[in-house]
Order: sequence, then C-alpha cells, then structure tokens
Amino acid sequence: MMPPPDSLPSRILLGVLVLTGYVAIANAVQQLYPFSVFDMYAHQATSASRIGVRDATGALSEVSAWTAWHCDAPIRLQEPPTQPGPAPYTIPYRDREAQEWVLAHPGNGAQHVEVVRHVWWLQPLPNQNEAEDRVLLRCQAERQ
Amino acid sequence: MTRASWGGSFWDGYTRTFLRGGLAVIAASNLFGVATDLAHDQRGPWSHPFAPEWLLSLGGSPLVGVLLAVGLGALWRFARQPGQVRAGVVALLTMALLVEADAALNEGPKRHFFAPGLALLGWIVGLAFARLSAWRAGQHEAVDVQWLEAHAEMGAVAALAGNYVDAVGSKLLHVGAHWANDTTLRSIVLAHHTLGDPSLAGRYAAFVAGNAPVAQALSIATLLVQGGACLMLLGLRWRLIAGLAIFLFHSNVELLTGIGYGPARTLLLLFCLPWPRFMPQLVRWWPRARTLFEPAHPVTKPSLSGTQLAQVGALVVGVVAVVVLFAQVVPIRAYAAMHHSYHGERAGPRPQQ
Repeated sequence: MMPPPDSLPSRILLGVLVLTGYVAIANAVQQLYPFSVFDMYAHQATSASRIGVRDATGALSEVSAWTAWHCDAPIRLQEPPTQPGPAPYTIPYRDREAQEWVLAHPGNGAQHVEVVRHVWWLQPLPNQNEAEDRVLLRCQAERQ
Repeated sequence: MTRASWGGSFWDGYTRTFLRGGLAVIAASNLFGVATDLAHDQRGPWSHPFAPEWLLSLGGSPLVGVLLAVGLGALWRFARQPGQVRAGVVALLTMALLVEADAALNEGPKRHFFAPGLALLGWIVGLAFARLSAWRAGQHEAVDVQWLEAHAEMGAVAALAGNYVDAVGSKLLHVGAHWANDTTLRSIVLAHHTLGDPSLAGRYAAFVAGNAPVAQALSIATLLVQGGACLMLLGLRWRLIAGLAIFLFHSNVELLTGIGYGPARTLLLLFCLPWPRFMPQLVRWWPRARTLFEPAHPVTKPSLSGTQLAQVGALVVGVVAVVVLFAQVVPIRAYAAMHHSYHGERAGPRPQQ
C-alpha cells in the first residue's frame, strides 16, 4: 500500500513539532505527567553501592533473601562517612527497599548476620581497595 | 526507500483500529497499575512536602476507584471510535491525576507510567493538528477519519521519540559525551542488579560490570540508540530499525538492572512493527480479527496549501511557547525538584503491596 502522498508533508511537520514540543515542555517543567526529562541516569559515577547481608560464611546476598529479622535498631541509611573522599554512588529507593524489608519482616531469626553497605570503587584511590563493606547493623535473621 | 515512503506508515491504506485499540489497552493497563498502587499509598515523611492536600488525600481514597472507572470508560470510547479527542483528553487527565498523586505520596514519579501517557498525548495532538488543518482548508465538515488517524499515529510516534531524545539530552547536558566512559554504566549495573544472582542474567551483568571496554561500548550504543529515536519520524524502514533498536536497548537494560519499562517496549512494538503486512496471515482463521487489517477505502484529503500548513504549524509553536513561558512563571520546576528527596527516616514499615 502506498501512503497518501499529500498528507506526508503535514505528517512530517507534525512529527517534528510534536518531538521538539515535547522536549521543550519537558525541559521547562522537568517532571509533570506525561512530560519528563528522564534524567534518572544522567550523572557520572566512579563507584556503586548496595545494602546487603554478609552471613557467617562470608557470602553477600540480598536483604530480601532473609526473614525473621531481629535487630536492635533500624537500618540507618545515612551512615557517617568512614573515610575521606567522595561518598559512594547509591540508589536511594533500593536502599529504602532494604530498610523497609527488614522492618516489615520481624521475627526471631537465629543466624548472626551483618547488614552492610557493599561499596565498589571503580577508580580506586591509591591504598584503597576495589571493594569494601561498611557494617550498618548486626542482626539475627533466617534465610528464606 | 521511495520518496513516497518518507514520513509514511505501515498503516497507510488500512484502518488504524488495531493501533488505536492497542494504545488504549496499554494505557488502560497502566491506569489500572497506578490506581492499584495509589489505593495502597499512605502519606508519611516520604511524601512530597509541598504537594497540595487534595492530591495527597487521594492515597487510599475510594475516589481512586471512581477515577479509574472514568479513565477506563474514556479509553473504551477512545478505542471504539476513531478521531476521539475528548475521550483521549479525559483519559489522559485521569492518568495524570493518578500518577501525580502517586508521585506526591511516594517521593517521585514512576517513569514506567509515562510512555502510554505521552503516546496518548501525541495521538491527541495529531488528531487536533489534522482537524485544525482541515478547518484551515475549509473542509472540516467532511474530513476523512483515516487522514486524521494518520496524523494521530505520527503524533504518538513523535512523542515516543521525544521521550528518548529527552533521555539522551539529559545525559549530554548534565555530563556530556563523557557519560559514555568506562565506569558510569558499570556503577548503574552494580547498584541495581540482584546481589549474588546465579542466573544467566546475573552472569551477564557481572561480565559487563567487570569489563570496562564492553561497558563503554554499551554506553556509546545507549547514546546512539536513544538519539536515533528521531529516525522513527522518517518513514517505514527507519521506524522499524530505530524502534527495534530501542526495544533491544530496553531488553538489555532489563537483563543488566532489572528495570523493564514494559509499557514503553509494548508501545514500540505496537507502533514500529509492520502489523498489516503479517497479521492478516496470522489471524486468517479469525474473521473478526482479520477485519482489523483489511484495506480501507481510499483516503480523501483536504487540499491544504503550504501557507495554510505553515500557519497551523506556527499555531502549534505558539502553544508550546506559551506553555514553556507559563512553566517559568509558576513554581513547577521547584516542585519537581523536590521529588526523589528523602524527607526523614521511616518510623515503621510501609504497607507491603
């Protein structure tokens, strides 16, 4: 099927107007449904971090792989810096998911575990390891 | 590519019932998703500090069910009848209200809800543009619905493309081409992917996270594919190539980070695949479905001069300019900037959904 040729200039004009109009309005409002600049990953990072569980065997796993949590305090997301230099890159909602999981799954777990912020340094400084654990909390829990 | 295919569509010569219905189904699914989230939402220290009371009060309110019914009803009407601007606007406003309420209650907007809304917006703008053009040509009373929906389709595709142009533009504006270095994508993968994932996807994510040249190549491909979304406007083949490239990009992101963007991927398949070329064969045993892909009657087009078309285009530019200027006057950017900021430690768990 051939397209109706007479409508093509108006369609191309419309396409250009809608595309540029969407980009212009999105940049003007930043976020207002359905406009967005989609800048979630518009940053530069040389590190990464995740909140996880280090068990007695030394294995690192997701907080959500564990249940029956018994901790003396909630996980603090804003842990004090343990060393000079930039803070590691974090995904706040992933951190909060971990925090909420522990709060939502209390119990009397028997295994001693450490809730850690595991940090990867992708461009480590001299005398800095490529990865480190920052212990946030010591708890007892059970594997799911 | 023939000259006639520039700006053309696989749907030229066919009714766009399947396309319109598909858009309505994807939007309805999203509307149901956000309404379900909102029904469980509760305000707390994580909620937007400057959100209006009436917006926050929607969380867990029975009014969410009413809005869902209104939105679904509007989408039903939109899907059933071609050229429906009013029903599309009602559906879009309902989606906007629910998504903004969910965003205010939950620290920020969930971006996977955006693609159906912007495609619907583009469809509506396309319809309005075509109606305005027909009116300018003095032929608005006998305007052909196929002609209207050819523009609606282009509007939706252009809005989808704008989504990706925005994404690449943000990266280039904030960081520059250096975004595609050998660490940024690795950090995103490591910060998202499930810890200790033994699956094939987990091994692939670990491979990318541990392999700087591969990560950098994927980063460069991300910029090219997102920027290449503009090509979807050019015509049949470019739309197919660019659409599939973005679909593959999303699929790769899901393997690496678990972030799927299902509605956006479904819309890409809906608008970029040549459905009329292969669906008639696939549904030949189902006469009712086959009618969706039968050739339509010849299109009658308004005879629009270049000057008249330029006038309609200038009006659209004027509307966009007014909206952009209005956004500078009202504190909407300041409100948006407060999304995704954490407003205190939680005192207890949020209800699990």
